[in-house]
Amino acid sequence: MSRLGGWVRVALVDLRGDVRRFAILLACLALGVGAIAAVSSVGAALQSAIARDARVILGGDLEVRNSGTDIPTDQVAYFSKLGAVAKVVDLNARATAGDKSVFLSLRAIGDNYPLVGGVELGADANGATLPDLLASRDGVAGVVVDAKVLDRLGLSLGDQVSIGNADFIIRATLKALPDQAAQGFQLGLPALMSLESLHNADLDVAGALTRFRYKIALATMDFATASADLRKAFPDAPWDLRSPRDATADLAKFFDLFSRFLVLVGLSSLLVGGVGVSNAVAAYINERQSSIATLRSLGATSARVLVHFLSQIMLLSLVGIAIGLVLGAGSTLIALPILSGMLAIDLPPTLDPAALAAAAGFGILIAFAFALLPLRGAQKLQPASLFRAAGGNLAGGISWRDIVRPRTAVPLVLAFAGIAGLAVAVTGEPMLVLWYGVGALLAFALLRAAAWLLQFALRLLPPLPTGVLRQAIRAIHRPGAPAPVVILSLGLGLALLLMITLLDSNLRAQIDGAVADKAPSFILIDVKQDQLAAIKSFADTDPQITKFDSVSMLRGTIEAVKGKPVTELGPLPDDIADMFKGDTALSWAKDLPAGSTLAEGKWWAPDYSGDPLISLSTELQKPLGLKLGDQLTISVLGRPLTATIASFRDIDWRDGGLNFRLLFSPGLIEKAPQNFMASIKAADGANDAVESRLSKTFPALTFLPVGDALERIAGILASLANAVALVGSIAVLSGMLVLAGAMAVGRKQREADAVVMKVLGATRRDVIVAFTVEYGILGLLAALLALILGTTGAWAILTYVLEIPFALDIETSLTITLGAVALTIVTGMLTTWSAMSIRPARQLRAES
Amino acid sequence: MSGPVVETAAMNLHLTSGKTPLHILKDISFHIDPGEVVAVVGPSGSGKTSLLMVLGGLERATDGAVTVGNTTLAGLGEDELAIFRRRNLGILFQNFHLIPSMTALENVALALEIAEDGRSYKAIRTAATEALAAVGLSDRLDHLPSALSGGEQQRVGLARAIVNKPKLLLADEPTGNLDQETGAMVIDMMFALARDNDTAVFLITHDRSLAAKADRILNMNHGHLSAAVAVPA
Repeated sequence: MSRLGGWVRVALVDLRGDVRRFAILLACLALGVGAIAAVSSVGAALQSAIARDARVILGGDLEVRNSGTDIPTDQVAYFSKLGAVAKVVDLNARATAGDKSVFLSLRAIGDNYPLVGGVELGADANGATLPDLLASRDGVAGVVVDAKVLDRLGLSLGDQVSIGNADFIIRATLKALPDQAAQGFQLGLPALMSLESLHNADLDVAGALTRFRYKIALATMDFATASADLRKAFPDAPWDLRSPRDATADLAKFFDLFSRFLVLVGLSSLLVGGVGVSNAVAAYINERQSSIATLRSLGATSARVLVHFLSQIMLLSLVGIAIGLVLGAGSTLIALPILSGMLAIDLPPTLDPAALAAAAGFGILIAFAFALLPLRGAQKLQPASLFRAAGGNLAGGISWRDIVRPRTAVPLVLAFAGIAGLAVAVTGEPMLVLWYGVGALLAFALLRAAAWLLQFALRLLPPLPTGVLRQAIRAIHRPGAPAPVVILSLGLGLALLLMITLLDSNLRAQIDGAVADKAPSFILIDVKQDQLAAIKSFADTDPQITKFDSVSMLRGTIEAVKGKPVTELGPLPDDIADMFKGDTALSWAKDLPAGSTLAEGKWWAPDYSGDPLISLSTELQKPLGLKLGDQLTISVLGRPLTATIASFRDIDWRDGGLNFRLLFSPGLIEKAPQNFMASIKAADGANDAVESRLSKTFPALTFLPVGDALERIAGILASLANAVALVGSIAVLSGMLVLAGAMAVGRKQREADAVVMKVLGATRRDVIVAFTVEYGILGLLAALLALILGTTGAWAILTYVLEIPFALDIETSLTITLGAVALTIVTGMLTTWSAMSIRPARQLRAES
Repeated sequence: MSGPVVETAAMNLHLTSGKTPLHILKDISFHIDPGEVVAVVGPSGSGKTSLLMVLGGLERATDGAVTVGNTTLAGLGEDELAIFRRRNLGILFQNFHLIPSMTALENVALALEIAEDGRSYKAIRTAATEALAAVGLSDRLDHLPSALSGGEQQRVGLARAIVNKPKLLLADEPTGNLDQETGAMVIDMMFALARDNDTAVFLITHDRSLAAKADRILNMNHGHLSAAVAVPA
């Protein structure tokens, strides 16, 4: 051990000198580690906040939830035996004031709401309690609403508003509900009123979109015991029971997926940074050839040479990693309070030691793995070189035979296995890591193979007509040429740049898609046959309505799936469970509706009139284990219809169009009395005006302002795209550092070549043309390969990780590709120009 | 130590330049006794440096026997050769080859650090300080090579080469980058230290007047080591 200590001591003494040459190594590691540290810390903070606040997010220890109808009082009385109970009714309603109206996501609450956590009110509440604000004064009850309601209706606090059949005074603004995050996506602006007011406004009637929730703070039992007790007491009750964990499952899954994706982007920047590390170490070792040979001539063994330089590189890497951890920790502490406000979750600015340790682990393993080959090159250096002219590119002296030798292959494989293991531990997705690893390996292999092929092909090329061109081609394929390093670094850096750009443009396209021109502003549901013509005529004559569509809509009850009654289906995912409780909306169609694509099976002929067929959304396929030919029994207007599954459809809900998860074939169903669903698209900026006119003209009509909702989805997607852009920009910065490092690799050689050419009588023009051709060829090849790699990477991440359709942005891709070629040539020319301005005499003397 | 420090018998060195085979050293048989100073002269490309490299275990003889300090070099691996060098040799280069990031003291101490002969770090520093004092550089201990003149750098190189009290000192044109006066001073110093430590010297030089200071002069020509030339008394 003391022997090793002695080796390391000498190595550290030898590290003295200009550390600026390690700037790229330090920056590559700092950026990559910083990105991973920040992303995993924020991810961990989100997960722990969700776990910690699960009870607050549910609003209790147990929630009994029923859609459509309230729960009988005897059952509610039983709930009270388990602990404190808070009743909440959620529904949509319209608030009107004068000729303006706004769609509300209304919540009616009892006095003891919330059982856990607190409702956040605006400063205008002046410290008043919620029951006070909602209480009736002088015969008029109060409501608390989102500040946007005041804006939309042009009202101020203290003004009156009509909701349902009652008038209310707006007494304060609402900022956040403790259990807001668990409510999922909501149509309409949040508002609170008391249960008594709900009754007085005649809004407590049963309705398909009304949810009755009883939140229970259990006195003694835990969730499992209490839910078993309730199920035993009321075996036939239709309600759902939810635990705090159920309430946060979707949220946790979403954040988990997203932080995993960002960890992969961070890891990409670290992997590309690894190439920067490798180039920097190779350049350093190249520079230290004479010292290495001196050490060897003094009797240093190859092991000692390795320990000497490895300890230097690892010490510098630790400095880079430490800088990265400080950057990562700093950005985490800044990001958490901002995210806390955006996501309505309490995220105290704390650091996650495990996330920081994982980031540091990635940094150490990457530094080791990428430094090892150049260091093996150092070991191979013969002391005899001290007596002969200096050799060529030392790092390039490593052959495949050297790499596959156990002493190199084993530590290399162990390091990459460590990186993969750590990635699995952080993401929890072995398959994702496996595919990512295969992709990264293929990228490296492709770039190396391409460089080899280029050199091979150029060697076979017959001599070109001019000396300048021959010089340029020889510079690419001569032994020790930097071409493979330049192609690898340039290719990887550019591939990363392209991948991030494509991810960003696809995410943003997704946002644009969400608020696309074709997306409607309002969806009208349960439109009666006799209303339809009037609405159509209203839409046709209103100058601010640009489009009107309608389709048949029926309500039916799913009774059996594959012959099995729905009551025996077992637990179903939240997003489809409601379809199996009471009525659900369905329709029929002759042609495949817009926004649907056929995933499996065949679409029926438009004039089909045989036994009922059905086309289902793929969302139902997996949870129910369905396949083509299976049968569903659906009761429509009291008449059970057994339909055979003819196809499954992928529905793009972002389309905002009129689509149904259950679609019947034409024929029998056409004869059933039916309502309609319609959509209205308002002109830009006319949503509020059209909404007011529509509610005034058709007061009984139920219509949902989906435009608002889609805008809110777009807001969420924009935040995601911003996060990708932020982490991506770090990756891109790493890529650019690597590019800069790669260009620097050949600089010394270019200078030496330029001097010799100049001494031999070449003009500046000759030299510059030779280098332009050389770097033009290298840049073009690297850019083309990067185009393939970056596009494939973006496609794979979007398709398999984010599950978002991929579209190639050809214009951006080509701009980046051609820009990169131009940049490579310009950089090559600039460095050549500086080489040309060196006076040959000085350079030659310095070399002597 | 009994017997010669260096002994070669019918030693040949073949190398290739590109695809052209070259016979660099031809049938070399000679010896150097303990403490003996041998100078080798000859035109450029005659094989002087190649012979030095073979003696230093930096190049492997193609055939024949090479024994240095009782170690037969044939068949030794790279690391065994490195250990052989640290135990038996000191090397002085024309271009000094000091580690630029290390001070004069650290450069000299480096040879002892690598020797791993069980000395404490304190003992290493003391020995290195003494070696630098012996070459007249007590006031340059903490200077980096870039702050030293060529003559001073070569004296640091000399201190580094003899600090281990090697059996054999290999010197490849050690005055090639120095002016005549400084070169003569370095050579005198080298011979004196070698004699004090009973170290044999294998000196390559183009300078006949420096060679004349050796116990024996050998001629190298086209890979042949010619018969010894009598050194004038």
